[in-house]
Amino acid sequence: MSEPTGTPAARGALPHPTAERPAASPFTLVGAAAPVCVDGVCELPAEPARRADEAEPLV
Amino acid sequence: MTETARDAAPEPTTDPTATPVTIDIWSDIACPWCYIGKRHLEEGLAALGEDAPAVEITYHSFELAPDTPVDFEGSEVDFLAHHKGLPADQVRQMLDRVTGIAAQAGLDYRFDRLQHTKTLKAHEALHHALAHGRQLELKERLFHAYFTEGGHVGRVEDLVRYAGEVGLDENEMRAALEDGRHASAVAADIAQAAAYGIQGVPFFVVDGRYGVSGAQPAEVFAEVVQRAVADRADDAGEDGAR
Repeated sequence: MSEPTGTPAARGALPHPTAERPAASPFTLVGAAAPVCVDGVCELPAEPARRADEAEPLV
Repeated sequence: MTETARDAAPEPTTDPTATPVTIDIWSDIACPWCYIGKRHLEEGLAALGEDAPAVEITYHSFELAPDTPVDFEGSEVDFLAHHKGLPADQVRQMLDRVTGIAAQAGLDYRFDRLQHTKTLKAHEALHHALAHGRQLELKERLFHAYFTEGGHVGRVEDLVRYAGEVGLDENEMRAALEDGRHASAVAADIAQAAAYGIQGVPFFVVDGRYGVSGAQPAEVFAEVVQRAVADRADDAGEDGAR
């Protein structure tokens, strides 16, 4: 039975962040602001826009 | 669409689609936008039709509310109103709105049935499923159980049953959840999200290069996958020119 091979970074598929200098975003971000859940709070965008500054808390 | 274990970064090649485009997703079961985002991703890939490259999707753990008790007693409205201090009527209106958005994605959200719970064991189950090639199936099963059926996704016995339904060995899953062998992998995922600066879910990483935050429209996912393939072609061209 195989076990997980660890994190993607450990497998060499993703960039390695460093503890000394955490990568705030090592990726090229794509797309406009879209609804996400953060720290147990989910945002619902004001319709029909999807801008983060127009979002309101959902849960 | 394929899901295979990755042991190393892809070798350089002149064929940009010789290896699957990787899509790493940080997500929680108890995340309404994560299920909607999953559908949008699937729609985006389907929209590419014959041009769609093979993709390799891997889900990673992100626990939105780690202080949630496994056996929370009360409705979703109760939980949100008490936990977030929002008026119950406002919570109901919000849930109605997200239910409508989910319906547009073909999902039947039933917050009236939902059983709020701690999702840590569900994440361990998903790592076990990944090791056995059934992670996508279990992820879909758990989302549907949580948001549509009112199923419990925090208890070992329920998770074992869902695992069996997607073709995993129930005894192995039970043993894995009871001995916690995947707990370190869950913790590593969560730590890696923090190191990447990922504060919200869903968060998609395409080919280790592009980050996509939130339940983006399907066309965004289609575009970024196409861009990743084009980048591979560019990279191969640059390598060949050296």
